[in-house]
Amino acid sequence: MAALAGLGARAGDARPFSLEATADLLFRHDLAATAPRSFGEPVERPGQFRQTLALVGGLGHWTGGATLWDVNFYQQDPNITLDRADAGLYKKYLKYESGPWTLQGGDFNAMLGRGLVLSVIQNAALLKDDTIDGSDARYRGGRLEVHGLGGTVTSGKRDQSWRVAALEAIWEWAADQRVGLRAATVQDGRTPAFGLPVGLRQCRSASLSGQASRAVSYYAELGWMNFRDQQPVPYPTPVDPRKGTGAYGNLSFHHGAWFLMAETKDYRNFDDALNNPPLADRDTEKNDLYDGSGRRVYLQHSFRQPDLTVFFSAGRYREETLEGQNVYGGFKLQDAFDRLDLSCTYGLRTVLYLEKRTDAALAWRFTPLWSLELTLRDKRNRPPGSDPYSETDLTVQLARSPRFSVYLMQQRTTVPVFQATRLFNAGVRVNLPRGSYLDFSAGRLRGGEVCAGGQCVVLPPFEGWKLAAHLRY
Amino acid sequence: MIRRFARAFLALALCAPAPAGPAPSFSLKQLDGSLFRLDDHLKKQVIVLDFWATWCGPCTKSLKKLQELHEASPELLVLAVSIDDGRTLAQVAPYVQGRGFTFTVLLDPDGGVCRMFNPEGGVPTTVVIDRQGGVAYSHSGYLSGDERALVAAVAKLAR
Repeated sequence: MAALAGLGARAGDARPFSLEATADLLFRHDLAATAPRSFGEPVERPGQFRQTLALVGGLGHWTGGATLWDVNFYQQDPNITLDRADAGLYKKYLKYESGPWTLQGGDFNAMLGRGLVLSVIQNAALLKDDTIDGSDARYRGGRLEVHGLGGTVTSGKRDQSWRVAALEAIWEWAADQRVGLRAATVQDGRTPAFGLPVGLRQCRSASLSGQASRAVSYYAELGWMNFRDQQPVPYPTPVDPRKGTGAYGNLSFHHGAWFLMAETKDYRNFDDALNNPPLADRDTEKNDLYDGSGRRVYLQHSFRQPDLTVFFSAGRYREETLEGQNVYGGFKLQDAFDRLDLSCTYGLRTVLYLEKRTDAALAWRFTPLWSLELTLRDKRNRPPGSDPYSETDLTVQLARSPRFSVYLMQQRTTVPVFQATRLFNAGVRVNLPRGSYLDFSAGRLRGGEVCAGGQCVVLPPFEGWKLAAHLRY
Repeated sequence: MIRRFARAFLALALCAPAPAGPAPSFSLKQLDGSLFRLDDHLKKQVIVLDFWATWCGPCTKSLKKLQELHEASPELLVLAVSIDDGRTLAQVAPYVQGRGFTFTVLLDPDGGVCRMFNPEGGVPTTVVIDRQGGVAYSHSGYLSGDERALVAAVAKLAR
């Protein structure tokens, strides 16, 4: 690799040849492929041996990347029909950047404005990793920015595809004052077998953003969507998709240690499958699309000695015909006595049903390099007319920077009708030089966000053991 | 195909890591909407890049240590690149301003630049670019004390 990089280097070139490789090796053995499943566990849980090799290279004004992969599902549930072995080129791109111009071809992510009109990005919480396979051109001159793109999007399961084209122009008409115009078309291609309205969606939006003064900033975006049937479904749909509107805005005030922000959103029939309108709050990942509204106020104060941040949010929301509140508050204390980090958030949400949420973490450092962390997450739902449903996660982690971390996690789930279950998971992560690491974990996981080894990732439900190597060159 | 790829993977796994290669070029918007081009700063000073998100717990600690480094070494160019997308983009300003962070904040809402430096796209990821424009240090995740390795890497480049 070193020789390759050296051979490519050209004397006097502003940007000589570069090549960076990242190899990921995953061996995942699911013990429960044939065992009885508990509530909420998915059907698809194959054991697999997967390798990916990501290459990123550059020469002069050019940058390119490609990810090669192969997978062997050596152990499968009888109900799944995945090919036992598969391999190929997963993602590739070539990018040219010079002066005000950026041109790109291949696979890329894109988001226009705040995502009302078009948003094709990774969403770990929803396990989405879609990209546009096409081309993208961007001009960024003094006060004007123009961005155009076109291509095809295919869903991760390959059961849906769309053809997209979009154009965006942003003009800074005065210092720190911007106006933006966006348009996108989304044409349904392949659709799932169960049938959805198939047609052409046309979205447009206009935005205003900037600084009203040194302390006040704002962002406002309004969007419209039209839908033209090309293959109407033979039954009534829950919403009329032909016309939709979307709006998002925020106004914030910042002075010293105080921060105050008001946010609003309003979406009506506003979903083209490739947009992702902004939230006006946290933890409403799946409730922000097509038909809902929200208003909230967020207040934050930060102290320097001790390093303490206190925050509070209160809002009122509508999701289709249901309305309710979402209120939460908490604090984050860091480096108290040079040893202690402590944080706690408590919230109540009543939009669909009563939901209480506690998120607490405590970390103690024995020495600057050795640390012990204790994290508690507790979520309790009370759906109307049903018993409470609760999830409680407790994680203990011992770490020695920068070399390794060891953790033990207990997940307790109480589901109506079913008995409470306790799942245990343990793991170790060893960090190697230059961002490489080895990761081993074993046990049972409910699935969801797991914070261990200094990183937070969203994982699917799992029972078995897993060995991963992430190597960078 | 699989055998060929397995051989290529093994060859990569067994070969020694190469010295730093040049950092890929990028341009991103700053919090105030203006454009930042890496090329305008490359080879002029040591650059510390930290990829983060408002929803990432360990990122808060990593950014706080980055602020200390920024205050202690004003000759460094410290860039905190947020990968918050449209759903949480509005949280970036309160996060940064509320904590009094004074380093440069860049917005990478589609995560494209983050994946140029770390194809896995995980945060936090910290990268140091030396005066020759090469990636001299790279680390993903944050454990209490990790800043020591970062400070050592930066100090080595300053010599």
